[in-house]
Amino acid sequence: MVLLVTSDNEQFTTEKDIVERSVLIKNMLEDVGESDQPIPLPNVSSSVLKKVLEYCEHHRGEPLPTADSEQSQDETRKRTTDISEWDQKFITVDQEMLFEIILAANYLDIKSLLDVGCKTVANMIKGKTPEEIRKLFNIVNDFTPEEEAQIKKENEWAEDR
Amino acid sequence: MSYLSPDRPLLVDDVLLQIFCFCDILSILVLSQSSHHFHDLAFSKQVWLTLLSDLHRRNFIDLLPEQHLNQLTSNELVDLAKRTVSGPRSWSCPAGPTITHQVVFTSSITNLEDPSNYYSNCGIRLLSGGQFVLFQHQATLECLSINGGKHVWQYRGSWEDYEVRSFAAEVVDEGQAVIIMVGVRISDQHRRNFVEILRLDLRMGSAKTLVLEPAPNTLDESPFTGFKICGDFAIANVQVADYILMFRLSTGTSKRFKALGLQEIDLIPGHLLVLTPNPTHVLATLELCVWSLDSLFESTVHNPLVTDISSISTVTIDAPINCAARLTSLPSPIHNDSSTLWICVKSTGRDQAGSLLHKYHISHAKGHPLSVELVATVKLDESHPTACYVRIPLNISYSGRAEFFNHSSQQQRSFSFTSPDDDIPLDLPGCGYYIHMSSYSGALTYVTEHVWDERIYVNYYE
Repeated sequence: MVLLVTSDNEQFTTEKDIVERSVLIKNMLEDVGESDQPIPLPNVSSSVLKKVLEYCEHHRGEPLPTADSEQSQDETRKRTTDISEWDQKFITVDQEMLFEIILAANYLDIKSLLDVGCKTVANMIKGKTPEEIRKLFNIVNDFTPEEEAQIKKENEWAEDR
Repeated sequence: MSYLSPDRPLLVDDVLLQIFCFCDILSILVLSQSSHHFHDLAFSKQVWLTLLSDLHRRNFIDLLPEQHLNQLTSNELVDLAKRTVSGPRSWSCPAGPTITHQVVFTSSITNLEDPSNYYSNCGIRLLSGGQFVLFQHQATLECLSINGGKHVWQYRGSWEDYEVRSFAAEVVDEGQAVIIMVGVRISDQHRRNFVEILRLDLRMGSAKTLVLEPAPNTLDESPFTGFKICGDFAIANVQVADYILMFRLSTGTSKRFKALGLQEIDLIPGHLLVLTPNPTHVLATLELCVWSLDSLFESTVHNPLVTDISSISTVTIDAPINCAARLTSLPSPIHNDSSTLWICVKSTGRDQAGSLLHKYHISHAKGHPLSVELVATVKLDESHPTACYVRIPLNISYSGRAEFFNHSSQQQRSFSFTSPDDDIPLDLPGCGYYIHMSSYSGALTYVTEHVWDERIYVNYYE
C-alpha cells in the first residue's frame, strides 16, 4: 500500500499497481524503495486526486507506454480523437475539473489520462470562434485591429473548405 | 483553486501544445487568431509536423521518394498544407504551370502481343503518398515503385482468359499496404463479370484476396463504373445492369442492391452516396441520396432495391433535361469528419445548354446528424471552353481542378471549377488519353502513347 498526501492535506491509501500508472510516483517509489513514508503531492488537490485514482483503478493492469515507443511516436503519433466509452463518461466533468485533471495528469506523468484530457479539449475547440476560445482558456485579445485583420487574411486559404 | 488564479494561465504551454496537436487545421487557425501567445504556439513546428504527418498518414500528401516531412521548416509545412487544400499554385498564375519535379520510368509491360490494341483498355493511377503507381493494360494490372519503376506486383486472376476492366485502390497501414479492387470481364461466351478485392503488402510485393465475388452478367464489355474503397467498405457500380455491389472488407461479405436509372455512386466515411435522375419530378432534376452503410448491410431483404431502405438525406439538384453527371467526393484535409462534393452536370441534349457545377459540403461526424450544404453553383454556358469538351471529367481534384482533352485544339488542358475563367493548356508531350490527377497534390500521372517508347511520367507542379 502507498500513502499519498494532497495539497489540502488529505491522505489517500492506495494499492501500488494502481498508483504506479503515474510514472512520477513509480519513479519515486523506485528511488525510495520499501518504505512507509507518505508521498506528498503539493500540486494535486484531494478532489482531483480522487478522480485520478478512479481512472488509474479502472485502467490498472493495462500496459504502460514504454519510453521507447513514446519516442518513436513523438512526431507521428496517431492522432485519433476517439475516446473510449468509459473514458468519455469519466471525463464528462465541468471545465475547471477537466483542466485540473489535465494538469494533474501532466504533473503525475500519466500519459493516457493526459491524452484523454487533451482530446476532450481539442473536441471542445472544434467550431468555436476566437472569442469563444479566449473565454475557454481565460486569455485576453492582445491583437490590434490591424493585426487581427492581417491574421484573418493569412488564414483565408482555409475558409470555405 | 490554485490553477484558476487570474495571474496564472489555465494551462501550461507544453499541455497547450499537446492539445493543439489533437486539433484539425481549421481549429489551429482559429486558435492562432485568439492571442499573440496562442498564435506563436499554433504556428510552432511541433504542431504543424504533427498535423502534416497526420495528413500524410491519412493519404492527403504525396511525397517524392527522398522527401521527408521532418526536414521541412514550419513555414514549409504550412505551405504544404496550403497546397494540399488549394492545389498547385502555378496553375492559377499568368506564367502558366511550372513543373517542380518530374519522375520518369519505363513500364515493365513490354512486348505486347498486339501493339495496335495498346490503348484500347488502359488506366493509370498514382497511389496516394506518391510512392507507387498502378498501371493497367487489358489483362494486366501491375504495381510499380516510383523509385526507378521497379516492379512490385502483378495481378493474376484465377481465370484462363480475362480482361481487367476497372480498378480502384486505397493505401492503408501508413503506406505499407494497399487495398485494390479489380473488376474483371471473362473473355468467353458466358458474359461473366467478377470483382476481386486484394490487400497488397507493398514491402513484400505479395497480395491476399479478401473478396472474390461474381458481378451480374452483362452484354456490355465494360460493365463497371464507379469503383471506390473507403475504410472498411468498397463499392462497384454495374450501371448497365442497374446494380450496386457493396463489400465489407473486415468480414469479406458483400451485398447487392438494385438501383434503377443509376447515374453515379461514391463513398464517404460510413455512407453511400447515389446520384440518380429524380423519378417523381416532371422537371429535369437529379437526386442525391445518402445512406448509412451499416443500415444497408443490416437489411435482410433479398435482392433489395436500394430505395427500399430509407436514406438519411436527400438533396434535389438542378440539371438540364438530357444530361450526364459526375459525382466526386473527397474528404477535407483541414476539417476532420467533413467532405467536399463536386457534382458536374453536363447537358447532352441538342440545345447544348452547357454545364452546371455544384459544390457541396458534407459533415459526417460520428454521433452527429449528417448535413449536406450547397456551397456554390457555377453555370458554364456554351461560350465557355468546357462546352467543346465532349466528356465530363474523370478526375475532379479537391480544389476543383479537372483535366480535359480538348478535341478541337487537340490539347490537354486543366480547368478550374472555382474560377471558371481559369483554363490553362498543359504541355504533356506524347501523352495518351489516360491521365490521373492526384486529388490533393494535383500531380499528373500518365503514360506516353508510343509503343516504342512507353514511359510513365509523374509531374508535380509548383
